[in-house]
This record gives sequence, C-alpha cells and structure tokens, in this order.
Amino acid sequence: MFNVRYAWLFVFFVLLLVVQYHRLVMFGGISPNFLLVAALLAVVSNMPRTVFSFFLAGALVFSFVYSGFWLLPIIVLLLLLLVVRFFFRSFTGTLFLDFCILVMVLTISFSAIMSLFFGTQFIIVSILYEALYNLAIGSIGWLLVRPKRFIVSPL
Amino acid sequence: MKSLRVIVSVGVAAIIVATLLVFHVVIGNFFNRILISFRGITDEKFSYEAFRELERSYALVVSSSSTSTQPAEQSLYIEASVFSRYPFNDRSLLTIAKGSQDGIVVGMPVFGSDRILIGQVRSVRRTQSEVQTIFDSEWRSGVAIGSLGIRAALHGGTSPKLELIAKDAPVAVGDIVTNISPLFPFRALIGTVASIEEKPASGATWQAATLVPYFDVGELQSVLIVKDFP
Repeated sequence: MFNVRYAWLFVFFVLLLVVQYHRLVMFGGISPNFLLVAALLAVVSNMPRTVFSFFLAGALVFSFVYSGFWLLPIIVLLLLLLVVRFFFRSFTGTLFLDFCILVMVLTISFSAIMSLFFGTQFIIVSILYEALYNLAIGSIGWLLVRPKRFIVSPL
Repeated sequence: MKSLRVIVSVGVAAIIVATLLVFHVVIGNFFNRILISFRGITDEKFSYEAFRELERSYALVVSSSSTSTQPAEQSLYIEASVFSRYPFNDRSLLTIAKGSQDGIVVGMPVFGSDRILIGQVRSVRRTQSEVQTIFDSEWRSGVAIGSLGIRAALHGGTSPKLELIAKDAPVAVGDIVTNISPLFPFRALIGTVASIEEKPASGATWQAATLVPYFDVGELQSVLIVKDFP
C-alpha cells in the first residue's frame, strides 16, 4: 500500500528544489545545496530504493518544466545520489558519521565533475565553504528527521 | 477510508506541484523580493552614501560618453523579470521570463538598468532565456578603465577581475570600467575598480585589479535586453 507520507515528502522535496533555484539562502555568495542534503537524509533513512528513484525522476521532470536550462548539473547530481542510494552501506557503524562523510565527499565530487564538464575552475576554498554549509544544514535536518526513527513501509 | 486519505493526499500534493509550475514567474518574483529584503538588512556595504556615489559616477560617464546624447528610451530594450538562478555555486547564470516568442535571440546584451551591462543571452527557449552574467567564471570581455580608457580584460567570477592591464598604466581605485568589446554596446557601464593588486615584479608585463559591478546579481529582479544590437 502506498504510504501517504511520500506525497508530502515529495512536495517538501520540490519546495526545496524551488528554494535552490532561487538561491534564497546565501552566505557570503555561497548557497548550500539543499537538494543534496535532503536526498542524503533520505539515503541514510533507508528510504526504499524504488520510492527514492521515483523522487529523483520526479525532481528531474519538475526541473525540466520549471527551469529547463540546467538539466545537465541536475542529472549529474541525481545520478550521483542514485548511485549512493543503491550502494549505500554503513561504513563507519555510526549513521551520523556516514552522513557527514557523504555530504563532504558528494559536495566535492559534484563540484569536481561540474568543473570538468564546463571546463571551469575548481576553486577548492569556496567548495569547502559550501561543504561546511551543507554539513550545518544537514545537521539541523538530522535533528528534525532523526533518521533512525524514520521508518517507512515499502510500496 | 485509508485509500480515500491516500487519494486526497496525492491530489493535494499534485495541486501544489502544478501550482508551482503554472505560477512560476510569480513565484520567481516573490522569491526575488524576499532575497532583496534579506540583503537590504544584512549587507553592511550598502549605504545611502554609496548609492549616491554610484549615481554621481554614472552621471559622469553618461555625460562624457560619445553616445550619451542618445536618450535612454525604454523601447530600445525588452524588459524581463528574473525568474530563477543557476542552482549551484560553480556558475552565475539567470533564467529570465522572456523567450523566442518575445523576440529574444542568443547573443543579445543584457543590462541591469539603463546602460549598465550585466550579461548576455546564452540560450533561448519559447518563453524563457538563459543569461550568462559577468559573475560567471567563464565570462571574458574587453573593457576600458577610467577617462584614459586603459585597456584590460574582464574575467568573471564571484569577484570579477580586471587582468592584462599594462604594468605602468595609471589605474586608481574608483575608476569607472566600461565595455569596449564589440559584442556589447560601446562604453556600457560595468563597474568601478575596487582594489589594485600589488604592483607586479620588475620582470612582469601586466598588473591586475578587482572590480565592483554596479549590481549584485542577487539583487536583480528584472533586466533589460538590448534589442537590435549590433
């Protein structure tokens, strides 16, 4: 049976995308990556793979219609997240530590891939700032969601 | 009962997402206003004095420019509201709510306000266009500094740089930077020199400086696209 919470999670996910597209929250010209943080919370919360894939597909369709110019970075980010979801196993034994490492590694990898795609400079200082912002936002999200207690039933 | 709840929830969620899609321009303007009001509160650099100084420098350039006799007519431009921004930190691109059906074509110069260059149309769809701004790390264009018209290359980025300035050129903080690239209107304003990097070593050929543009890309609610250029 379809879990009702998924519908509201999807709306929340889309609203985060909208905030991301308007770069509403910026610190010193650097904007946190809400999409990445929210998706990683879903990964460590053990959201069923099928639902997670539908979420990402929905986000892609929404991005295409809402602001279709930047599909390449969105596709790259969603693919990275999909790979992480499908191969995620706790590698430190502490879920929060896993989450922190994933946030740092994915932020840096995503920026590195994009700079390769666009041929732009890879400015490590601003990327590290972004990673720290993501970590701060993720920690707040962690306190709100409490992933260990977030049990979802399969489709 | 439970299936009814599921249907209602999915229905409401679908309506919310559809509303976001249909009213995307209104939502874009709404978010931009929130963004600007946040900046107004938190930006310590902004002051009325700074604003007046910018007005004075703008008036000075307009009066000294060879093309300044031409009145700024709104009909020279297509006005478009800024809809969204490139969502990540590695680029500085905007989506504007005008596209090919409004006469926008790739390459058109984009102004933040009358005669102040902010970017260029990079790609166009039917109802939206993508603008690359001078804050984009891929931006390169030729500029002139001050009343002497010292040549330099503008290199975009979070804090845009003026490069390839002749080593002995008398560049000073506060000098006005204007466009000389044939891709954009001649002498369109870009910003002022913010600081000059340390004088180069004796063997060096060039010096560099940083630029303060007239607009922060986050403040832009709408832009003017220059029609019929060149």
